[in-house]
Amino acid sequence: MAIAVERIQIPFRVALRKGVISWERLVQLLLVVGLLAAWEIAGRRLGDFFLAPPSSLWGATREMIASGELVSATLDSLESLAIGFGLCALVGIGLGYLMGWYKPVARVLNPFVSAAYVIPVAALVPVLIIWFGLGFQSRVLVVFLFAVFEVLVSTFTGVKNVDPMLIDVGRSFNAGRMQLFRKIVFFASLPYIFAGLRMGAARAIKGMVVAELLFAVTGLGGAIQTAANYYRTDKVFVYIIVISIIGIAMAAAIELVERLATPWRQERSS
Amino acid sequence: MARSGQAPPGMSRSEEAPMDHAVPARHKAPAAHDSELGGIRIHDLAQTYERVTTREIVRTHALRAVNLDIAPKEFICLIGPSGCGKTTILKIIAGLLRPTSGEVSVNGKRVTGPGTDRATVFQTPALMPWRSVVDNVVLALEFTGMPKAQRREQAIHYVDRVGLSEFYDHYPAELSGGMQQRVGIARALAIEPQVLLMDEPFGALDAITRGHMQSELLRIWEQEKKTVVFVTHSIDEALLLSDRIVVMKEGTVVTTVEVPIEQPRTRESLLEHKEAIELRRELIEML
Repeated sequence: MAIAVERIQIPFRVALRKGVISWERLVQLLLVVGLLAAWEIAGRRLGDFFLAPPSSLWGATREMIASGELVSATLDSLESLAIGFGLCALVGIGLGYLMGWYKPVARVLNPFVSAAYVIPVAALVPVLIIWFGLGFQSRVLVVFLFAVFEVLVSTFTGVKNVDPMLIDVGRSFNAGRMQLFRKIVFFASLPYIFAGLRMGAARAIKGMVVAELLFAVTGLGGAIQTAANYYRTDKVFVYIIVISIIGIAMAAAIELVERLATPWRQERSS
Repeated sequence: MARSGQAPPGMSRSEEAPMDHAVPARHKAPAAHDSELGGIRIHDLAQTYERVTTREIVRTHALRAVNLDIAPKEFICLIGPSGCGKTTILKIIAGLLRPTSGEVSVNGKRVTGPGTDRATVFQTPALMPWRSVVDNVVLALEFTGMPKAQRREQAIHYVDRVGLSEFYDHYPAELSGGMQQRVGIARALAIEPQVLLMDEPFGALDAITRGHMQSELLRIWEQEKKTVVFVTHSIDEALLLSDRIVVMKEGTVVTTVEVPIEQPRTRESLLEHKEAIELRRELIEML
């Protein structure tokens, strides 16, 4: 079955108007340039220790790479992030599935999840220090607690929102309950789970930095603290940029896994 | 044909509506001949939905006192306005819904749940978006427990049957509505059921595609003679497809009407066929 496809060139002016090169994009660009310029000017006036200008960051970065502090702080942070987020994915998805698939589990756990969801994790930090000390365990736990509910609630929602028609299809072909789960519910809920993982990843990074800033003076958060103590604002900014890059990289990695795991969702509008 | 339905043989039909569903003082299910599998008997079926609020119980009587016998290999259409209980009957036959009272038996065996002797084509195609055309059909075979080695071959056979040979590896989202519904039909045929249950399968399609699909279905039905229970609210569709039309209103069978025109019918021939014109007029009046 052949379907006619027609391509029509859009004149540049029209493209401009249609938003390919929109004035919104132009304003964005101007904003960034303006901000950097203002930062640069303010930085040079106020001096490095108060507000390092963007032009000084390159030098700072090279210095930090040479001394090894940048790499060691980053690796240190990534370790707690990876383990904390891995645990959170495991527990969040597992518990989310259990709650979504077995209604009694959901009825029992729902109020607890709702309650835990609203507690600010930062408020728990003092207790966590008492229980688990200032070390690695506590950091992993903070990362975990920051992110786990996003993943859990998304998974739960995903399982609950599986099209009941698809379940009926399975039932009508005599599928057992376990088959329904493995062959229908599991796949149908994947988009929700990945949405949860993306949100969870952002929260996990925040959790990681909070833990390092608040108690364990290690990793990127710790390094920021130290740099600030020495009035090295240039270093502070470099660390913040590194944290953003970790966030972008994690989001991209999750998107890549999602692409591989749900190939049917890309060909839609091609 | 020893048809044990309510409608008298030949072209006569029960003229007065309410009389008809009172008929069945049936004694025993006729033993199904081995060659004639797929007979359905619906006895005194009732379905009540209950909604309980704090102050009242709201009962909706979706079906009451439905009696119907469907002969093996018969093509039957359930027709009626929306909300008349057509889909409910279908779901009960499929074993997806437990009736409040009464019973349905297929081949003289009481229906207590879904089974591989029946297959449903749903209102929407209801395909798994993550599975290709062939794999959607394979899934049904996985559920029914066919050995792995035979599944793909069987699935391909029926995908070919509905004319989708070029689309084995396409995802449902890449297909048009009509093509998706073909996959739904292939999936139902693939488990080789005795009874095919079709719930307004072409309701969501445009008139042209719908016409093609009807002809296609007739062609397939000629090859794969099965008992078909087809829900529709289109009089023309019912006239084109069925041996017998069951007219429903407000949860019960008003009358059943034989369609005295031999298959193969076409939409064009029905336009001129005297009896078809007459029948259409009667049905329009009734509905």
